[in-house]
Amino acid sequence: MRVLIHLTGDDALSSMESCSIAAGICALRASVFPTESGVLRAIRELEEERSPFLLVTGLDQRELARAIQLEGKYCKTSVLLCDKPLVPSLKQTLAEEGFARHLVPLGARLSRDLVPTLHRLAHPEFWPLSRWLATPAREHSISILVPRDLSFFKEVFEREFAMIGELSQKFMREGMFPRGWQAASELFDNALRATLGEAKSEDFVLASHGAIDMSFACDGETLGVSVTDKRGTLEPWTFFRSVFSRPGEAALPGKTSLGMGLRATLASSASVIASVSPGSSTCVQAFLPLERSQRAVAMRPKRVEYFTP
Amino acid sequence: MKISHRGEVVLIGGDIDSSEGCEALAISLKGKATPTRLDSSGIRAGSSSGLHYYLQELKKHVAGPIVHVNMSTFFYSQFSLSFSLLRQADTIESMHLRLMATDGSILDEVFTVGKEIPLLSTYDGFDLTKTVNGKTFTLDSVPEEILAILTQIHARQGAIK
Repeated sequence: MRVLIHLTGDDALSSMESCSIAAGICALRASVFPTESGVLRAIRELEEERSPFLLVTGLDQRELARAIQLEGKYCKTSVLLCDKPLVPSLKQTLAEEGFARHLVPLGARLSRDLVPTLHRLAHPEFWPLSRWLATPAREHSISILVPRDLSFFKEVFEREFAMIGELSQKFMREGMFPRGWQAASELFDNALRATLGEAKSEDFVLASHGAIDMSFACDGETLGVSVTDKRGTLEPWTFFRSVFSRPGEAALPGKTSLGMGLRATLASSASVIASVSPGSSTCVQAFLPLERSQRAVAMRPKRVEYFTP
Repeated sequence: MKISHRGEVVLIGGDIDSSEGCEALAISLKGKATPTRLDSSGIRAGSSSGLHYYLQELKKHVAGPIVHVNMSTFFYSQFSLSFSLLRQADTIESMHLRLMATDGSILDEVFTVGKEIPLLSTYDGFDLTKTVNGKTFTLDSVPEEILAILTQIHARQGAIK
């Protein structure tokens, strides 16, 4: 999988840093090419598989279009992630050069979800599902603005049930529905706890920071659940404690159940990716296997990743 | 959560999530000092925080031990994650287990602990198989992890002896 990323704007630099972290962990090489000649060189490297990720920053879309026109034959199997609406010339070039079917219009989600997105792209087994989660038109998603009282809980769970139920009718093997629902519920509970963590007075107003975004996607083999809060309080210690806890010791010391939600999610998932920007967002994505095979329900994920800038 | 009775057995069903109170369960169990037989096989789904609220209610209202009969998959998978969910005097008499054949067919059955499922100090290497209509079914989950709660009961019984 080769990926061409074009980033512009004020957050390009921080996104680039995140990308480097992802690339480092994935043992892939990210390159930054701020000039047209740099893009040309990098596109050639794509062909030679020397730079699976091409990160383009600070280059005008028209210049990018021109570079692709010159070297586009090298890019036909690449994927373009773009955080801005495409200018007509670039859109036309992409269509002419065979990019159209590989275009992933992440829009505003790109910066926030860049690291897990890149990570998933680097693992072809999750590529189809990533596309579902990343493309707004095809995802099942809800955005919840947390009110001060929690009377909305039932409504949220019913909506979760409805969405996962819809997916389960199409895709899931028997018995996966409760696990899918539980993973979504546990991640939502944790996001809610993180969101309400700073509520100390009646004046506390959650406003825009109160939103919790949930997304679901399913490709027939895997159920993807993504929950994002706007606090960014999931610490590495908490995360990896859940990963490595022994049977019977998932709860925090002295507690009966606190800390179990994440462990229960891990128990149902093939892969869990946490992307944390301290103070601004925690995005946890769980991928649950749905295949009809024995021992499909393991108690530990095959892969976990924790990303932070 | 739905509460009903079958003789002396308290049946709980529905969903255990943090959106619901456990008042019905509290009323049903209040002041009960004799062993309570609890059947959770009707639980459809649940979350750990919902289970936490449920256990808080149990602690408040049930003085005597709880005997889990037909324990649901949700319950024992959660209990296997945190042994402290099972109170010292509580026991598991029987549990629902899901077995799967190589063709993907599923067999849901109740197994008696101590008979069909032995109480062991470890379930590493243990497997449960059943043959029905020529098909061989085995556990759908990793035994040493999903049955971990039984190792705790085994350890407690050993301590009593």
